[in-house]
Parts: sequence; structure tokens; C-alpha cells
Amino acid sequence: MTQPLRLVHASDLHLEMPVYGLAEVPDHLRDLLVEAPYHAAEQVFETALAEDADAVLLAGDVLNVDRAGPPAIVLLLDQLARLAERKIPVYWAGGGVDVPDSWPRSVTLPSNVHVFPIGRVESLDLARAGETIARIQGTSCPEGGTVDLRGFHRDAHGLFTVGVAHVANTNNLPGAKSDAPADSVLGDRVHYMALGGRHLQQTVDETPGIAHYCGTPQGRGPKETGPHGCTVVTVDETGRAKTKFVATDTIRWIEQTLEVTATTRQEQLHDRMVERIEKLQAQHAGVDLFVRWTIRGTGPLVNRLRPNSLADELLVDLRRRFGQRSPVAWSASITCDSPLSVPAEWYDQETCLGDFLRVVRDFELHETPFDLRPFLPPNVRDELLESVAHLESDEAHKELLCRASKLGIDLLTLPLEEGDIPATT
Amino acid sequence: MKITDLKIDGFGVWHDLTLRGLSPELTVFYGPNEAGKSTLMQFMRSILYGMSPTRRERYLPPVVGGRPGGWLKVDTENGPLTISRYADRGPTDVGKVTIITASGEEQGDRLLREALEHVDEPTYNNIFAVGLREVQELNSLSDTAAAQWMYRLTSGLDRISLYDVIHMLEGTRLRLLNSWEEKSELRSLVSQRETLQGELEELITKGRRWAQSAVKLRELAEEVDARQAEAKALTARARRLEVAISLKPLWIKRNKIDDQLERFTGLQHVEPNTLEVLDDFNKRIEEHERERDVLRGQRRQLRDEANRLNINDSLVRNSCRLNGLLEQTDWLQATERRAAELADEVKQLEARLASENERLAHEWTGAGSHPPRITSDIVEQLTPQIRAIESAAQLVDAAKHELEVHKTGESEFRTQIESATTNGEQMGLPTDLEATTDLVTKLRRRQQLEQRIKGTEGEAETLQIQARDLVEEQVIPIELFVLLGMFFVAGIALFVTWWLLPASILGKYGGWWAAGGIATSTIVALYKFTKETWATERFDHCHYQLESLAEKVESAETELADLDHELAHNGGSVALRLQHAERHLAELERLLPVESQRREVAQALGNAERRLQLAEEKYAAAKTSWKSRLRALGLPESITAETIASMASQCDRLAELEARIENRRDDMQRRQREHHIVTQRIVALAEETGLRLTSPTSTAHLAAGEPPVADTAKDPKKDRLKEKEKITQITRHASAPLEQLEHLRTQYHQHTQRVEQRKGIRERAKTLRLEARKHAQAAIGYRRRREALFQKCGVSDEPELRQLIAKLAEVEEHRNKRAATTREIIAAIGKHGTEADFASFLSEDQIGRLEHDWEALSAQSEELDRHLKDALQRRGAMVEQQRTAAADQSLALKQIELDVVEQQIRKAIDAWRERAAVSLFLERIREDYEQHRQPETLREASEYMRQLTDGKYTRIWTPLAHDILFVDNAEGQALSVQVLSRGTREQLFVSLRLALVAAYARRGIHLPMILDDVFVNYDAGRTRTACSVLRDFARQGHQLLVFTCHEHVWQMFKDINVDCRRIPNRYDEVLEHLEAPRPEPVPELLPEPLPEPVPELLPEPVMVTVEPEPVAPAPEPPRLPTRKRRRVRRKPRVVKQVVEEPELIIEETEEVTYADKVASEIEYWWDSTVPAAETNGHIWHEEDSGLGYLPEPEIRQRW
Repeated sequence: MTQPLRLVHASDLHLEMPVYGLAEVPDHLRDLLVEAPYHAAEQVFETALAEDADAVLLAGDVLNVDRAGPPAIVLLLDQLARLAERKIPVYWAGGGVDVPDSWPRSVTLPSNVHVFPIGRVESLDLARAGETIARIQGTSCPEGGTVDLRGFHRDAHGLFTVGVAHVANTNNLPGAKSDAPADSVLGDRVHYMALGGRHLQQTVDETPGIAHYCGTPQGRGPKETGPHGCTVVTVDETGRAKTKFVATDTIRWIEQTLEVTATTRQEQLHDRMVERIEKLQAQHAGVDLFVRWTIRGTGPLVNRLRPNSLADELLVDLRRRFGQRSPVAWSASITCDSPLSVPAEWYDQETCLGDFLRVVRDFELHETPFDLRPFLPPNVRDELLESVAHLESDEAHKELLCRASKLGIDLLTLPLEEGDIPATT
Repeated sequence: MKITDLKIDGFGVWHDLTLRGLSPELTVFYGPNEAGKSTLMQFMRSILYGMSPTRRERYLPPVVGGRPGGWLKVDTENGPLTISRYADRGPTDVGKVTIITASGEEQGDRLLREALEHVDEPTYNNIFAVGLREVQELNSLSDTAAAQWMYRLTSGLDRISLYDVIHMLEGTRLRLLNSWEEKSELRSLVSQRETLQGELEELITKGRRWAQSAVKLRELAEEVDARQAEAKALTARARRLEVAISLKPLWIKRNKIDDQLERFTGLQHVEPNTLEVLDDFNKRIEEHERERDVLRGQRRQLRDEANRLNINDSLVRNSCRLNGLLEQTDWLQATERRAAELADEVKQLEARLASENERLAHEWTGAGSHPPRITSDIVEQLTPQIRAIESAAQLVDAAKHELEVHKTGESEFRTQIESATTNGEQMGLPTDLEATTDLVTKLRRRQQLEQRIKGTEGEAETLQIQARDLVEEQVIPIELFVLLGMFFVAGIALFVTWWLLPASILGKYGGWWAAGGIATSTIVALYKFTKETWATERFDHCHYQLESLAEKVESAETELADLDHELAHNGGSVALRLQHAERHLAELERLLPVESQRREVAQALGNAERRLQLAEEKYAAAKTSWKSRLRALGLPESITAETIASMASQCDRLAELEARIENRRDDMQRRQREHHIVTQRIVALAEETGLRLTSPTSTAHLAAGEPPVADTAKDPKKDRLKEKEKITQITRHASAPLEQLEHLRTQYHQHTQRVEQRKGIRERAKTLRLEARKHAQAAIGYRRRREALFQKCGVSDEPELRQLIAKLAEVEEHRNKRAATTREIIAAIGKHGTEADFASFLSEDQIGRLEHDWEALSAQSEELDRHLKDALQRRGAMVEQQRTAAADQSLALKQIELDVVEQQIRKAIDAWRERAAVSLFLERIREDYEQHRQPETLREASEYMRQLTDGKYTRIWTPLAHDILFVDNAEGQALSVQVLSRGTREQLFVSLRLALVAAYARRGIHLPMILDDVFVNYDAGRTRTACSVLRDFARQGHQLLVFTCHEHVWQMFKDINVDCRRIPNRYDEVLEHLEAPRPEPVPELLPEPLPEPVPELLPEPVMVTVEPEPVAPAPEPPRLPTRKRRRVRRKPRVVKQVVEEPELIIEETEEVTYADKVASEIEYWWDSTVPAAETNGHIWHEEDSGLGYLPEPEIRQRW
């Protein structure tokens, strides 16, 4: 093998799933959210063509045929056809949403696509100019089940062996140890295990073989932050494999944290956010950014950073400044999980505000969790809506207590203009 | 906090306005509309809470000039304060506050916040400010809203209303989530989600149908492909036939050419260029033979030229030796130069050595030319003494430093103690701790005594009032006395009648009547005696208590005087002195550990001094030992330990200098020897080549062959002289070997050029010989190749060969014609196949049927095209359908919409939970408020309501767990707020506000309450009652500032003897116009008799000015003192805008004395055109004490 073996490893394309996680989507972002997974998938196949890959490994969850709709299926077939023209084989191990049986019989996949069967590990030869250069093993995930990895094994003659499988949770695999290093089971058997099922890129084992999750090509939700893409695997003459990450996403979720102090003013916070966005745009050039802000610290700003208050004011301004141009930097949300920050003497005030703070403190100390059911309106007739008053855990109670205390402070310190008489709702 | 005075420098329409001596209870300001009441109220708020943007916009900058701001004087728990605030630092300045205390100290706004009891402005507005706007708002509300609005006053109100917030939260919660029948945000979101989910399912089903339709499309595609393949085959066959028809004439032509070619078969094959090759061979043979002859002549000429050169072979052979010597030319010159330089350097170094020796000997010993040599051994022997001296010196330095540190520390402690003591002394306080403690104790005792005396005096005052009442009780009222007397006299009369006329008028019951009369008289007498005795006893008891209290006061005052004597107290603030003394005491206590530290440092200082002395003794001993050791080594005693090292290093440098001279001399001699050896080699080479120069100087020197320097010289001085001579010779004859060498080099260069020239001639001759040989061999080769060509073509000579070539040209022409015809055939066939494919069509039996077959195929092709077109149309429609479906992104868009809705549901749920949680907390607060505070507030409000309605309504209450108020009337009927009349609602509102202020007062928050025209909707009776209620409320310790634009209201307040003031009407002309028709003087200006003097109702002396310089009020004179009246006249000017303030001119006028007993005075008057005694114009300020009224001067204002 004079030329190194080159493979493109991708998984979790989820062509049926647009980008989600926004509470409000303006019109100019709709197409962006719809098209982002398609663009990312195209970039994966474009990478295979540009890198002159010997094969493309798809480790499951490519698309859910039932929920994807014709555009996604057509896109996938077009891209597979492009690879077929260049005679690049595609090895596809079905995952949780793309079980091989679910593929419609009426839609024929190109001849270069090899879909691995369910329940057994199939072994195929990867050839270049009539010479076998690697062995590709793979299996598809049964519907609602897990993959049995015991069938993977290295080639007896030392040929470089690649495994392809969709394994969302390695700890549940048969033969895996209970305390997580089950990941190592994957690496023992083949030289390179192309895994799918996790949306974040991760190498779970490196010796004696590499077990690698390439992640999804496009981060879907707010929790899938940072760059996403596919992995280009290069195997040199000595059989040593190297992975290279190639970003394919067009929308990137970013989590940003800022600290405020008691002396931080609103304008200062705003300026810091603007500065941070400009830096992010320079750092992630050419990519649309969806930024989630987390503000921490102390001081009066902490109390005001809540919905319908300062948080929304800042969001409106940031979206106006950075959310209308291309590439967009859309501030998705601003949250502040720091506890209420008020001067200690407020607790001693003989006012409604002082009373409120003391009651909140009592609840924090003695009465968490608390019951919100009395505030439900009568005759709700909807289980979901009735469950609104039910909080699942103590943590949820504490979090609600924190948010409610800030709302209460906001309401009880409303800046009334002189002479104003509060309305009686 | 109570406002006592105020001054406006500039605020709105006011400029330079001063109000003094506001009543601590109730002050009523009257002024018509636009008089500036609101400006005055806003000024007070601005001073207390700053110039808010709204107020700045409305009132600043001042219309008629002046510095924007002013001051308020207030009484607080911390004593009287002057609060001044000016906002002249920019357009957004809220005003800088300055607080001046009674002692004249200037402080920041801390005292203001404390005076305001940390009540912010919204709270102040909600609780302490009651305005017409609120009354109007109340009246504009519906019955239910008004009832709720009333309730909110009782359920927690400070900065905001608890009730408002709770209801607002409830409204928001219901907007988010309401019952099944009502619309709500969450319900609509859930509904929207269900709709979207349904639409999504439909789109998914549509997607499945798309996949199924792909099967049909594939079948259709197969059909199209089959028909296309069939049509393609037919078309190809038809095309071939067509081509075959077009090939027919060409095919026949080619067959004829083939027949002609058959005649030339059997000819010998000859290469096409044979004729050209033959001609070429002939030409080349001739050229080579001519060249050979020319080259032979040139060789002969070169041989003659070489023989004419003349070359010295010996010189050429020794070229290597000569080159070696030439390479050393630079070295020879450098050696000569370096030898001369070294000689000079040796000379300089020797002179320097002598000089150094002489200098050091003179410096160290004072004479001689050789100094003592101090070697490293001597230094080592002296090292112990040197170290001893150094260590002793270090000890001395350390001891001095320690001494200095302790001195500084001791001095600092002493300064600290002295400064504290001095501070105390400056304030007249003792410097001793015990004396200071004693002083503090005495001052505290004195303060307690003052408080006790004050308390006792208060009790005594109460008892005196009680005693006055008891005095009156001792005397039976005349009515009762007359009544009792009548009974007594009647009883006696009955008895006397019965005694004198036993059976006259009273008949047989006369005795009983007499007994009854006696009894009545006795009872009456007993009653009178008992009553008087009881009153006397109570009076005596009261008197006794008074005496007891007087004794206590006296005793306390005695003790106070003693203490003052002891304390040497001559007035001044005891509290301040106590404060200073306590601070001083604390300072002295803090200094106790400082004193002990100072003593420790003083002890350490003594130790440091002793250590310094010991170190100095040790240092002297070390010095003595050093000198004795120097004597032992034979060195002068003047050498010190510090300089010994430097002397040793200088001796080392002298030794180094000597070694350096010796080194340079050796180097010079070595170079001279090397120079001599090379000179001998040059002479030998010149003789061998026969090129030696004959110069006499160089010859003599070179021929001598003796070495230039004698190495065996014993005496250094003689050696040096010889060396100098040799150096001179060398310098003189230095050029001889170099000249010889240059001559050899020149000769060698000439002969070398000749040798090169001869070598070139030989090379050229050799080349010419080789070229001539090549030309001869080439001519022979071409002859042989021409013969071989004849044999190859099968001919014997050149003419026979030329005949064969002509026949072959004719055959080639026929072949070209056939090839051209074949190319035409292939071109006609084109892409339709090969010749073989058409051979069958053009065979002899088929060539005649070609046109008939073509027509049959055309008909068949047309039929097939029709079927294919139909199939293609159907496939196109289906493909378009598929493409449309493939471009349809509605599924993804719906997914996004669904996600957005779910996010919004989560947000709405979070929002509902937040609001429910806040409601939970606030409900708990409200419960607490309703249980502990509301009942008390309602009870108090009930009392005010009863007073305001003259007992028509007796109770305000709220049922448990209901947000509504009920009012009980005198008959015990409970009425809800909705059914009350507008006036009663206003009374209820005022009652609640008064109760709120009272509730705040119970919590220790006493702030002035402002009422702005709250009685505007009251009838006369209600207003009069309200005035009384407010007066009583004010007497309970609340300061009220009432503003009204209704003169009758003001008059009513005047009638009940409260501090009433008139705000000047700024529109002078209008005022005059309105005031002029009055037939009578304004009632409040008329002196009215006061029923009884009520001292406690007498307001403080008040002075109001509109002067830049306020005048201090007179201290309650028994008569109105001489009063300065100033005429204030405004220059008439054209008024462009109402807001423009004319220039104010104040001038002194006559002095008027009034004999009436008044408690106030008018300091400054507006310009009056009528004498004061003849007019009853309006005063804009007066204090109505009830004891008398001032004649009201006319006020005239011109704008």
C-alpha cells in the first residue's frame, strides 16, 4: 500500500431533525434552521470527495425515513450517487432511527452503498486497484435493541481492520465492565472502531485500537455546543491510524459565561457582551452562531437578569445588532442562575420588601419543597396543565425559589414615578 | 421629623421665599390656583428626596432666577437639622445634600436618611401624601374597583401595595393558565401544539406516499427505456440504409481503380527517397577532398612560428621554489615590522616599571626607589588580624543600628502618648485614666439628673393642672349650691312649720313631714360637707405630691449644681462634653498597652547602649594586635588592614609588568632569527638561475651569512646595545632580499608567458592534422555507400536506377486515388458503422433494392415514436410531482414550529410557577398583615371615620378571607364600600390614610403628612368636622401640612385656631380685581375674642419672608414690637410671558407699633399703595394665635 488509506467517518446525520431549542424563531432564521443539517451532510460527502477518501463510514442515525420527508431522502441519494460516480464505497451501519428494514423498498440505494445486517457482524474487503487494502466489519442496530460487538475481530493476516457500529451507550454492552471502561472493549478487537450514537466528538479508547465517536455533523440543540463535523481517518504504511476532525456545521451553538459584580452597570455588561460576540465572530468566521449567555456573580444586575426584564432588553439589543446580518450571531437566551443578591439590611426592613425577603429565607431554610396546587385555577381538565403545579425534585424547588425571589424583588421595587397610583389590575 | 422652616432660593416660580416657624402640628396653606402650592409641596419633596428628572423638567431651572434649590430646617431625634440641597451641577443633577447639625457640623446625607427613617419617596407618597388626584381617582373608579382600592390601603402598603402586587400576579397567572372555560396562554399553546402534531403526522404520511410512488415511477421509466431502445434500433437501421444509398457511386469507382493496379504487379521495390540519397552522396565526396588539401598547408606555417621563441628552462624548472619564496614576501615584511615594534615596546615597558617602583616606594616608605614587596604569604600571615578588626567593626555597626531602632521606637510611643494626652488637655480633660473615668461617670450622672429633673417637672406640671381642677372642685358650683340650699331651707321650713304650727297645713302627717324635712336638711348638709372634705383631701394630697416633687427637683438641682461645680461646668453641651470625655477615655484605655510597650523599648535601649560600648572596646584591641604584627613583619605601621590588600595587589601588578617585558624581548629575538633563514634561501635560488643582482650593500650583508642576533650574550645591558645596532642594520638593508626576490618574480613571469605561447601553437597544429585525416576518411566512406545503394536496388549503375524510379511513381499515383475514394466512403459512413457493416447492403444482389427497404422502415419508426412520446409525458408529470415533494420543507418547518411552541410552553410554565411561588410568599405576608396589623389599622380608622361622620358610621371591618371592607352605620347595619356615597367614600379614604400614618408612627416613623385639597368634595359641615379631626390628629404628634385653594376651607381652619398661612397670589392685578368688590374685610383678618387662652395651642412664632435676607423671628413678645415694613415694589414692565419675574425692589417704610398681643409678625410686606391702617388687604402670611389679629395690609403685586 503505497498511498495511505483514507476513510471519512460520520454518524448521527439526523437528516430528519432540524435545529431546535429556540423559543422564538424570526422568519429570516427559519430557512437557516431547516437547511443547516442538509448543508452539514453535504459537507460530509464533499469532504470524502475532496480528501479522495477510500471509503465513507456511516455509523448510524443517518436519517429516520419515516420522519425525514422526501427532501432529506433525495439529498442523501444525491450525495450517495456523487460518491458512486467516483467509485467511493459507503459502509452504513444502521442505528436507532435508521434500521435497515425501515428503508423503503421502492427507493434503491446506489450500488456503492453497503448496509450492514442486523444481529451479526459482516466482514467486507475494501479494495483499491484490485488489491485489498483493508477489511471493513460492521453490524446494524436492531430496532429498540443494542449492538452485540462480540463479532468484531482483527484480520488474521494483519490487514487493517475497521469496525462500524452504532453504540449509544457503551456501558450497556454485553461483555462491558460495569464501571464504564467498557469503551475499551471496542478498541481491543479492531484497529479502528467507527462509532455512532453520540453527538459530541469523543475518542473513548486509543490502545490497542482506536474507538472513536465522530459526533453529529451539525449540533442540533443548545446543549450540543462547539464545532461539529466528521472525522477523516488516515492509516499510514505502518498501520498507524490518525484522526482529523473536519468541521461541517453551518450553525454553531455557543455557551458563554460572564461574571458580574456589585458595581457592574448595565451598560458595562452590554458592552462586554457585544465585545464577546465580536470575538466569537472572529473566532468562528463564516459560521452562524447561536449564543446562550449565562451570567453569574452578585449585585443588583443579578436580580434583574430575568425574563421580561433586563434579560429581554439585552436580548433585543443584541439580536438587533448581530442577529440581522450574515453570518448571524443570534443570542438565544440569557440566564442568570446566581442566587438573589440584596443588601443584608433589606432583610431587616419593616416593609413589604423586608417581609418578603424574610419569608423567602424561611422557605429556603425550612419549607422547601412547597405546594403550588392551591394556585391552580379550578376546573383545569388537562393533566399536562395540572402538572404545572408539580415540581419534580428538590433541585427544581430550589431553582424556582431563586427565580421567584428575583421576580418578587422586581415587583416590590418597581420604580414608581412620583404621584403614580398603582393600578388595581 | 418635623419641618420648622424652609427657604427656596430658586424652584419653579418661587425665588427667595422663606417660611419660618411652621407649626409642629398643623399648618394650613391657602392659595388660589396657580399660586404655587404644588411647587411648594414639590420643593419639600425635592429637598428630602432629590430633584428627580420629572421635577427637574417641571421646576428647574427656576423661572425667575436664583440658585436651584434651598433648605429645610427640621426637628429630629438627633436634634434640629438644616437640610440644604442645590442642583446646579448639571442637567441631571439630583442635588447635593448638606446637613448642618445644631452644633454647626456639616455632614452628608446619612442624617437625612435617618431623619426620614429610611422611608423612600414612593413610600412617602403612598402613605404620607394625600392629594386631590387620589381623591379624583377614587371617584373615577367603579364601585367594585373603589372598594378594592380602599381595601388595598389596609392590606399592606408602603412602597407598593401588597394587594396590588398580589392581584397583578393573580391576573398574570390567569392569563397564563385559566380554567377550562376561559382562554389562557398555556391552553392556547397546548392546543397549538396538538394542531402542529396532527399536521406533522399528515406530512409524515405524505412522505410515505412519496416513497410508494417511486415504484410507479420506476416501472414507467423501464417502459420508456424499452421503447426508446426499440426506436433507437429502428433509427439505426434506417440510417444505415440511407448511408448505403449514398455510398453506391463511390463503391463502383473504387472497383475500377483496383482493376488498373493489377497491371504493375512484379516491380522491384525502391525506397521513395533513393534518388535524393544518390545526389547527396556525390556532393559530399567532392566537398571532403577539397577540405583535406587546405588543412595540410596550415600545419606547415605553425611549425615555423614555434621555432622562433627563446625560453630559460632552468627558471621554469625552479618555479615551485620561487613561488614558495614569493608567498613569504608579506611574512618577511611583517617580521621586520614586528621586530621593530617589539623593540619599542620593551623600551616603554622598562621606563614604566622604573616609574612605578619609584612611586610606590615614595608612597609607602616615603623615600627610595624600591618599595617593600608585599607578597600573598605576608597577607596570609596578617589575615587573622584583619578578620578580627572586621568582625569588631561589624559588631560596632550592629550595636549602633540596634540603638537607633530602639530610640526611634521609644520616641514613637512617647509621641503617641503625648499626643493623646495633649488632645485631652486641649479639651480640658484630665490626662490621668482614673480622673477621666471619674469625669465620665460624673457627666453621665449629670445627664441622668437632667433627665430626672425634666421628668419630675413634667409630673409636677401635670399635678399642677390637676390641682387647679381640684381647687375648682372644692367650691361647689352655684347651681348645685342653690339647689342644695333650697332643699336644706325647705327641710328646715317644714320642721319649723311643724314646730310652730303642728296641725295647720300639713295635717296629721305634719310630724312626718317635719321629720322628712329635718332628714333632707341633714343629708344635704352632710353631702356638702363630705364633698368639700373629699375635694380638700385630694387637693392636699396633690399638693403634698407637688411638694414632694419640688423637693426631689430641688434635691436633684442641688446635686446638679454640685456636679456642675465639680465639673466646672459653665454651660455648653453636656452631651458633647460627655461624648468627648468618653472618646478620650477610650483613647487613654487604648494607650495603656502602648505605655507598657514604651517601657519595654526603653529597657531594650539601655541594653543596646551597653552592647555598643563592649563592641567599641573589642575593636580597639584588634587594632593594637594589628600594629604589633606589622612591626614583626618589618612593615611600616602606617599600613592599615583595609589597605594591605590593595598594596599586595599593586605588588602583584609590578611583578606582572616585569614578566611582560621579558616576554616581549624573547619574541623579538625569535622573529629576527626566522628572517635570516629566509634571506639565505633567496640568495641560493638567484645564483642557481643566473639572475643574481649585483648591488654592493645587499651583497655584503647577504654574503656575510652571520646571524643577526647573538644568542649567547651574558650581560643584559650589552645585549641590549647589540640588539639596537642589529635592528638598525636590518632596517637599513631590509630591502635587499625583497629586491632580489622581485627580480626573480619578473623574469619568471616573462618566461612563463613564452612557454604558454609555444604550447598553444603545438595544440593548433595537432588539431589541424586530425581534421585533415577525418576529411580523407569521409570521402572514402561516401564512395562505398553509393555502391551499396546500386546493389540494394538491383541495378548496376546510376542511369539504370533512375529508370526504375519513374515506373514506381506511376503505381503510387493509382494507389492514392483508391485511398481517396475509400476515405470518401468512410466519411459518408461516419459514425454509423464500418465498411464491413455496409458490405452486405452493397453486394451485387442487394445494391438494387436499397431504396425500397428504406421506405418500409420509415413507416415503422413513426408508429414507435408516438408510443414513446406518450410514456415520456406520463413520466415527466410524475417526476415533477416527485420533485415538488422533494423540495417541500414544510415537514421541517412544522418541526421547528412545534419545537418553538414547546419551548414557549416551558417558558410559560416557568413563568406561572414563578408567579405562583411569589403569590405563595406574598399571601403569607398578607395573612400575617391581616392578622397582626390590619385589625389595629381598621380599629383606628373606625375611630377617625366616626369622628369625620359625626358618629354616623362607627366601624370599619373586613370579614375573614375576603378582600373587601364593610362599614357599620350607627344602626349597626354593615354596608359595603360599593353602596357608600362619594363623600362617604372620601371620608373613609381619609380615615384609612390617617390610620396608616398613625400605624407608621407606632413603628417609630414620624414624617410630615401632606394633604392637598382632599376636602374639595365635602360640604361645609363635613369640611368643618374634618378640620377638627385633622387638628386632633395633629395634636397626637403628627405634623400635618394642608394645602387648599378654597378660602372657606382655610377660614374653617382659622376658626379652630391652627397655624394658617396664605400663599401670595403671584398675579397681582387679578387678585386686586377679585378682592376689590369685597364689602367687608376678610373675616380671618378681624380680631376675634379668644374664649380662653390655650397655651399649648399657641403656635410658635412664625416669620415668613420673601426677602433675600431672612430676619430672625422675635421671641414671642407680649406686644408686637416695632416692626419694619418694607415696601416691595415691582417695576412696571411689558410682560411678554407670564413666567417672567420682574425685578424686585425692596425699600424701607415706616415703622408701625401695635399694642395688640400677637404671637406672630409679618416681617415683609408686598408693596402697598394704600396706608395699612385703611386697608384690609390680604396678608399672605400670618399666624393666628387667637389672641388678636393684625390689620391686614394691602398687598400689591405687579407683574
